[in-house]
Amino acid sequence: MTVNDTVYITNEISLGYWAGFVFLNREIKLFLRKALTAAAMAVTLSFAVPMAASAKTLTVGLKGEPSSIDPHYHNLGPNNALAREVFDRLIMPDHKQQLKPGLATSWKPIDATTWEFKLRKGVKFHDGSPFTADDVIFTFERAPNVPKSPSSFATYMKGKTVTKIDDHTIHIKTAKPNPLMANEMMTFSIISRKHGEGATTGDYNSGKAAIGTGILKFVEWVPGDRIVYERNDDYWGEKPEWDKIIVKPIKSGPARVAALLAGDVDFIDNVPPIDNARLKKDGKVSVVESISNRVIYVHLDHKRDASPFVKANGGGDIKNPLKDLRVRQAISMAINRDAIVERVMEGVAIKAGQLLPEGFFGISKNLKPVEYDAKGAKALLADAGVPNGFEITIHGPNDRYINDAKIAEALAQMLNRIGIKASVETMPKSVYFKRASRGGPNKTPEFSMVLVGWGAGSGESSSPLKSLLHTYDKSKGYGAANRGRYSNPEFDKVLEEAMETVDDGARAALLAKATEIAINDVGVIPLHYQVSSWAAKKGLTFLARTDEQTVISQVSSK
Amino acid sequence: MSVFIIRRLMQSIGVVFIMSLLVFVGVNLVGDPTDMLINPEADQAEIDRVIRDLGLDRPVHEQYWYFVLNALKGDLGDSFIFGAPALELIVQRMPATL
Repeated sequence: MTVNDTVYITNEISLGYWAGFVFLNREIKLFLRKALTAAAMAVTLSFAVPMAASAKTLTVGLKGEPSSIDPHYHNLGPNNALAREVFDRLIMPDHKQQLKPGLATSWKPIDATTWEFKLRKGVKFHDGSPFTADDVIFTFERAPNVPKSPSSFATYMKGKTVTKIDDHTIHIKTAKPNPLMANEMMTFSIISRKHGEGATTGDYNSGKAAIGTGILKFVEWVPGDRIVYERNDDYWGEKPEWDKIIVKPIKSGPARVAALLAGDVDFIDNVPPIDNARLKKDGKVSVVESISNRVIYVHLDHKRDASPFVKANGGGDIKNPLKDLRVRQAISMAINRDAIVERVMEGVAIKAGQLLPEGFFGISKNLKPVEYDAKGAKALLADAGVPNGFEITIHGPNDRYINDAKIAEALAQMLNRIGIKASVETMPKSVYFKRASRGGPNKTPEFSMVLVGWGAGSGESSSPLKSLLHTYDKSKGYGAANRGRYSNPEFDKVLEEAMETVDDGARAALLAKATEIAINDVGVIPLHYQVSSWAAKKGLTFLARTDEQTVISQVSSK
Repeated sequence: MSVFIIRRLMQSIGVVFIMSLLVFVGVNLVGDPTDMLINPEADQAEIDRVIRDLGLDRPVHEQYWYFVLNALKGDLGDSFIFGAPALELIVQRMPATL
């Protein structure tokens, strides 16, 4: 519960008596404000018609509020989406997470372990100071070391040495070949040395240090209420369309939709699936959708010989049947993905056969979603020596992914149809992820069958392969989210080779091969890709994105 | 009258103490903020760093002891999410409750 929620609840309980007065007070204020605005407009209209016509303001309602304006404080979706308006990155991800020149105009490996980046010339920070290689070097110094950062960008920066060649050329060196160099340069904001030296996270929040090269200038942040931006007329790229953009954080889905329909905001993100169809029919708004990079999948316990939430029929102990490939295949075949998409997801999802959808780098052309086949699944169970199934508990979150608890329940029903007596336990994400990741003895995963999702932040398939399927290996930083502790030496070998192959074509082929090995071995069971959905009042458009982020400066009236 | 006030003050100190204990134990029993805060793509080293930085690797009683010690000095600690002092965040949001 956020501080804000608490505040409102207290409000309702203890100040119910005052509600009438507060309301009245608000009405009066609103009336006064309207009257004043009207007066101001009348004045403006009579004296300066052209000016009034050109002032364009966009108000957007977003589900997530950033925890900071400091672009390096917290590596999280809402923060990153808004940071990119004020601070450019060396390479900017476009709406399909493809690499587009940002503050770097070109990049290439010059030997096995060194990349050269040419920086854009003539770029100015919002205060007019010039952007140079020193600012990039400073960014590498500050970003991994922000005090109290709950999730830093160190992951993308460690092991890299940056050298300035001249004001607009840098070399980045790594110990081993790093094919993901460009993808990693797409993740973090470049800040100004002049304003960033000695600046705290608080200095960014107040706006004092929030001076970037981005398309929008930061004006103010009133937590829980609004974030205000204004146009940067000196932007090096395409000029911004809006004079002013106001972000309103509106956490609740129905409230966001209501705010759009009432005209309080012009644009919203994260349209709840249940409202999607209705809004599409509404003549006053338009909806845009895009398949996202987030796959919803099931991880099974591949490691333990006796899995804590798998029991024989009647409750006795059994040898972990999930270690048998045939049982894993049977579970995957028992899942009717079409039914999940149609009935649970209201049609707003796309069934999955691997970890990233079509169009992304390093996916397999051969893998298709597993077809629903209850008979075949039963035959496989019989083959594996468990013709009458077993008992299993499916664990999942109930507030993390779209309709997550309902998906878990649908899975249980489908497994029951082939004789596996499945029950479901869902819980809030704050409890779930700890237990699923390290709730067991010696910080091992606690559960036997978990429902999880994965969004590939890097926009290519090594992200899920590395974290979900590589053998859990703390020293290499691999398998950090491998909650099934899947381990396959053949897969590890191919993936590790891919991670040292700089040539794009050869790496894509290796990643596709690794994906095929793991999916055919049912290392995870992909269910569906989420679809992200945005809605705008008629006349506005938005280029729907695969990374679930809302880039507010790209809302357009053209 | 003054006896009454003193007695009530003593009582409220007790209530605040018990409430803080309940909330603290409750929060620790039901969940862990680490996974909410951290980027899912982070590796094990980064996850460990966050847990260490937030002091969540210490035993619960030790965490509580530090909380009480600092609270008595008027420091309610920093918000895990915003990284800013909790007191500042409460004051910032106070007007909405009036």
